[in-house]
Amino acid sequence: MFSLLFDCFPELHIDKDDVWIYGTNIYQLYNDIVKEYGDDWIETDIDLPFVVSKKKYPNELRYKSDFINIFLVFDYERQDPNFSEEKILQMQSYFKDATDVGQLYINYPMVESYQEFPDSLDEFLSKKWQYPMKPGKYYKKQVKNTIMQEYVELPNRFDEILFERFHVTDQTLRTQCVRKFLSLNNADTLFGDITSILVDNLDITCKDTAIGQFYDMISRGQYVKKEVTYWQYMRQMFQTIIKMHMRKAIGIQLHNMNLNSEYEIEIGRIELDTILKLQNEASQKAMDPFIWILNTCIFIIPEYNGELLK
Amino acid sequence: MLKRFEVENYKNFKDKITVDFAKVGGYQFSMECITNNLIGKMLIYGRNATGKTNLGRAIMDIRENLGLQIVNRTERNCSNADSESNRTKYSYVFQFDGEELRYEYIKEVPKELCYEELWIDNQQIFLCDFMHTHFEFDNLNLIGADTINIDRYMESFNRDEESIDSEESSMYRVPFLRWLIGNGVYREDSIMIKLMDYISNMMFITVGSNFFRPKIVYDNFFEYLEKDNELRNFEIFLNEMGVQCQLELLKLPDGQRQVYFKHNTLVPFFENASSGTIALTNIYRRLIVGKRKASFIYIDEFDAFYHYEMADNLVKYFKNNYPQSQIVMTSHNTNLMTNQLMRPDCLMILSRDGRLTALCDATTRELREGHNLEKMYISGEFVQYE
Repeated sequence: MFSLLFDCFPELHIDKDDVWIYGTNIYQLYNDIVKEYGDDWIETDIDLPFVVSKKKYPNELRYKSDFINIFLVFDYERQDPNFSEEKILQMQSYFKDATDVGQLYINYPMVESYQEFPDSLDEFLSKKWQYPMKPGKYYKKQVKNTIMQEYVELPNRFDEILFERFHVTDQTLRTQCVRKFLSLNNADTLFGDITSILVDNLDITCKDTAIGQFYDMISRGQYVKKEVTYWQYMRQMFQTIIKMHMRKAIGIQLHNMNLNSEYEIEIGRIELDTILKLQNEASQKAMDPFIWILNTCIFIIPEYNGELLK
Repeated sequence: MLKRFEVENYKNFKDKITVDFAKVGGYQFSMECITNNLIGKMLIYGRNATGKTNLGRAIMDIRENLGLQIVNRTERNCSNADSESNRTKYSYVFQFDGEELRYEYIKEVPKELCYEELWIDNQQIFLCDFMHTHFEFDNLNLIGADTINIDRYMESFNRDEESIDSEESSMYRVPFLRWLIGNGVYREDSIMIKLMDYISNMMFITVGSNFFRPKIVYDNFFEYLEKDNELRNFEIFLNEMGVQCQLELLKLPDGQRQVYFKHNTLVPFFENASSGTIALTNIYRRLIVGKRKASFIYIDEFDAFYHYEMADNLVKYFKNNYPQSQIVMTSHNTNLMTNQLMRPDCLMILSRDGRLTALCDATTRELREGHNLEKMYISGEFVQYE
């Protein structure tokens, strides 16, 4: 998802080759921080890349000053046996600057929530997840097959088809082809364009079948019809989704989902720690516990520059 | 105040470099860095040898035109060494109480004026193209200078031309602006008076910890300190900057003066002060002696000898004591790169290819008050502009 986000918003200047990903669980990370800095770590200046590299790649230590952006993206995961409201709140209030110590984004209930594609804004604003104690796979099922998910998966689908159906084994070649497909934006010349991409680049049997199949898939996607590339189209989708989630975040925070339409939704007004507290309260109720469905990691975009949503 | 300065083909700046004091962002913090909606306090960073000192000297060149100072005494050639042209073009835009004044000129090796032009509020006042002996003086009445004797100016200039082969020809052409200011009679609120005031109160300070300056310089300073309370003021200044000391000034039998640190036995000040204290003293001396009402100060490597806290204090001192002055400081001290002290539109990076960019324009990221600019600078956020 991040890779797609960075492709759609090149203004962030994030080169995928410079991205360093470290997978962990938030409580494990919490323990690693305490181990390195002690119980009063919250009073100190944490160097997160140092903490994680020391553990995972002790021969190749990395430091905060090596990174322009540090993002911590985690799922809420109330069902985790290590879940601790106190710890997660501490982390949320500490990690609030991507350019410095790092910015923590917690997704409710998990990162896939950005794929929610409701019929109306109101439907989305009131949408809750009623099973805070169930593992993520249950939620995943719910967002399966939304329009957004299909679009997000499109590059992977292209790649899969090239690999499985037409046996293109060269990864670089596949990636090249996929990128070319995604850059198409002219419905009138679509058939010819697809033909030349396949003929020029690949040596596959049953070319006609392949051309037909890709033509079908690409023309079904809306982007070529709108004369924009896949990334331009996705950028617009993301812009809409981000604005929707920002409105919901403010709504949760103010206990009011029916905000006046003139109320200015600004990233600066969103308080992620307040939202976390309210999510904690809602999800631990004895009767009808729930979590507001909300994705915060997409706020990377407006946090970087509010103009990117225009 | 200086609104914009441009220079082209000057030393390491082959292309045009612009210092735009009018490019003020909408930040609502560190407002003391802004004066009359122009940048009042500017901090320039840049790798070594990017031309931070050259830039300051270039800005001071206008003082030479008015005969106030010889800016580059030793150098005959100011143009870029890779450039085919040996002409350097300077452009200044000033803003005085809502009026805008633009003064541009071109100098050729070795410092010969070949073109000069003055505009006020988009009205050309005069133009002197010495190379093509083309002159326009039609609008001098707009500044109340229509009584200026143009013929005499032209004569002086022609005389120079005639004696071109003689030794005296090294006396360069008198800029018409200097002639205009020197020979005109202006109302007190005239823009020409404001211009002259501004330029004569511009100063360039290089900070060294070097005590080996002409002795007369320090004699003047000591004499100044002898005036009522001035020694005490100097002491307060040092204390404010974090140098804890008490001072005493004695007049020696031979009439010389000497400043001491007050201890059980007196310790001579200059022989014993740390390089940081000496550097600080040099700044103080330059700023205070003569009670100049500084309009524009370019302080090169202003904090080279200071602890970061002292540098911080000094910037605050400038903000408090020189609110109306435009002060440009160059530094390598990234501790000062904060929103508490400065702002992203007043922090500049001078790049190796001669561009000056404010931090807020050196990234597509929206810079906010909470950002740790120093950390961002070190981790390479602005690297494309270095």
